[in-house]
Amino acid sequence: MKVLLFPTCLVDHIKPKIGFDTVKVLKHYGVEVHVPERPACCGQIAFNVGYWREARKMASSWLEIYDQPEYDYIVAPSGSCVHMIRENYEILFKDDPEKLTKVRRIKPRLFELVEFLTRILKVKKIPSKFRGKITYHASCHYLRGLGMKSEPGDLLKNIDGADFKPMELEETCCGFGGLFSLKFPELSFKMAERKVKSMEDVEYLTSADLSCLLNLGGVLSRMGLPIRPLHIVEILAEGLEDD
Amino acid sequence: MIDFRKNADRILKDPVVVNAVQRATLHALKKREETIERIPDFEDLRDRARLAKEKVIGDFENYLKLFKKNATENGFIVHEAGDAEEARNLILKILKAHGARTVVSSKSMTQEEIEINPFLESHGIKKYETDLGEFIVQVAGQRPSHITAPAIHLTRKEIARLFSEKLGMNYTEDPEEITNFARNFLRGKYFKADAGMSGANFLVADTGSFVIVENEGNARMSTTLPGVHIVVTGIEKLIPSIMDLPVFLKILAPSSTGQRQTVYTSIFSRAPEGREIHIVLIDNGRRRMLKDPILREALMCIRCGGCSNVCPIFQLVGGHAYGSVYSGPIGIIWTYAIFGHEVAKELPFASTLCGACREICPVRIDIPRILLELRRRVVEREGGRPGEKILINVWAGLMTEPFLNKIGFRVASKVQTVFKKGDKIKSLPSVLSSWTKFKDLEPLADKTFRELWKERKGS
Ligand code: SF4
Repeated sequence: MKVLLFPTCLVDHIKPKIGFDTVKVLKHYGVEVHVPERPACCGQIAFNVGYWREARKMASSWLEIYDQPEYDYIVAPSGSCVHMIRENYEILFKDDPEKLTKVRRIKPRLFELVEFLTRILKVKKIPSKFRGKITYHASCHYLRGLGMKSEPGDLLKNIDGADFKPMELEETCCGFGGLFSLKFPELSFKMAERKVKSMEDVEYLTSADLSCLLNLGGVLSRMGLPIRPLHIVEILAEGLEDD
Repeated sequence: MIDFRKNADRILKDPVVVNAVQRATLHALKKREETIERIPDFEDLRDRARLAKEKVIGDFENYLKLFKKNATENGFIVHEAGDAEEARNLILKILKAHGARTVVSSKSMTQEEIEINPFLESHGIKKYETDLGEFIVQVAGQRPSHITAPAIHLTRKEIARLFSEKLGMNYTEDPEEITNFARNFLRGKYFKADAGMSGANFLVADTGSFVIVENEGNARMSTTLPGVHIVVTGIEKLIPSIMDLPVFLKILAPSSTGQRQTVYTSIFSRAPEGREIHIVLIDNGRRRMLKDPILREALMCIRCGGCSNVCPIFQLVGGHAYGSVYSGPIGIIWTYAIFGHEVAKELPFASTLCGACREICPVRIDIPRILLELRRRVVEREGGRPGEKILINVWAGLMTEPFLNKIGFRVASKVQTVFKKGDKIKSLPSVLSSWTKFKDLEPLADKTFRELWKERKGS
């Protein structure tokens, strides 16, 4: 099985480790992974704030890079980027039949990592060696857009050394919202703070979206709280054999 | 222009309001969950309600015509008003014809929309709100902060103080005593009132009836005790048939307050002998929405307020931050549609697009999709904000041009060392200072994932 990896712009430039951990997990299940050379962003940061022209520019470039029929799947370690491509590219290219064909060709083969593991590879338990008390933040587009509700928690629960402790406000938005966090900084902070305060007795905070983790992590760090944000794939990949 | 950010930041500094709103919204949500568990076909009911509303939107003028015909046959006097001013004048004319000086009214957002109270006041007509929440807000000289729970932002203490200061109540914080005081105060008004006013929750096309749901019984009193009754309602309240009504009644209360049903449901199907019932149908921008392929979906709203309750932003700041009678996620859309671009151009951005509103909406309105469209229109009309526009264009360049990406990343990861403290960035200049004012920032990596990947593969 051949997979083309979309690392996402944030992972690519801020946390390359998440990219490598994604590869590690995929390889563990015998998947062959390729990474395109060119940089790419799905364009949601522009799209969500009304700049559709700029979003189209990024989305076109993304399509050019990832529309490669010889790969069985395209996998990304981000719920919101997958949601953007799956739900919004057709809106963006409503009047562009050529791009629309590309989008429709790609859509059924595009998956977020945990989605790919649980829905395509039917993984129920990962032999991760992770140890510690974890809580989970359900990122909005992942939860409501992709419908990933119980799967991430189930995988985390099944890690032998991990103590999974769901938080009270698991499904409440963290207040990131792309440029929302810059347009309404105080409100965005209060939303994140409210979530952070609902986390009790945990060492790690995890999620399927780096963007939310940067937001919540930024508040954790500013407040000096000893909870470390980790992308879910960093937990799943812990201790897996490197090839 | 409504400045959401300024309003929100002001409210965030008032923990009493923040707590009151949070408590009330979370309570309603919890009750909703419990109630819905006992309605096994709830999802099916949502679909059926949506379908009924789609029917109306798809053939609007015919349903309206049918309603008007049947309502007139029922003995109601039907009027139509194109905009708020026309509506106000129409209402005044009816009241004057009856020599009305005092009016009692039950809760109606449409009346708030056309700002009828100050207008009547200026013509020497005193209007009393009889819904407890609305009455409190009126006494406080404020506007409702929630579509269905107007005084959600006030605590019991504040209400006690308000009533004792403004109405001479003997100070008490006992909710029952406060309610009794208000009830007695208003009872006097019912009997003295020359006219009653109300809104309507549903206009039933095939029977020409209108429906009012409520919890306090005040709507019944306001509409039946005085000699004339004026119903002020938006034309979007239409439903095709009386057969659809049970479906709507079954989803409305659970989505709103979490009750299984509201306490009172009044179906008005005939004007009684000797009493006039006027129905003022208000357009005020609704037909414009109807013609708009994206905005028209918002006309299906049954004003349950569920999307406000579940909104993580509303839960923190309440309705006043939205600066309009229509607050919360759907309120943004209504405010933009009814009051226009200039007034509301900042509002569509006051959402993280988290989608909780779409998930809870009993008629499945895709609120985030409409907000996205409004944002596009605002940016198109305004040309975007300077700082933001540059940021996005630079980003788009960096993410699509490999060469720019390489150079830009190198430069940025060098420059950031100036702002780094330990392994975090604590302060940044210009647009980005909005982030670092409240949160630390993760710095850029030394090398991109793609660079590292290439290196590893090469080795
Ligand atoms: S948009 Fe939906 S959830 Fe919000 S008030 Fe209207 S009907 Fe209720």
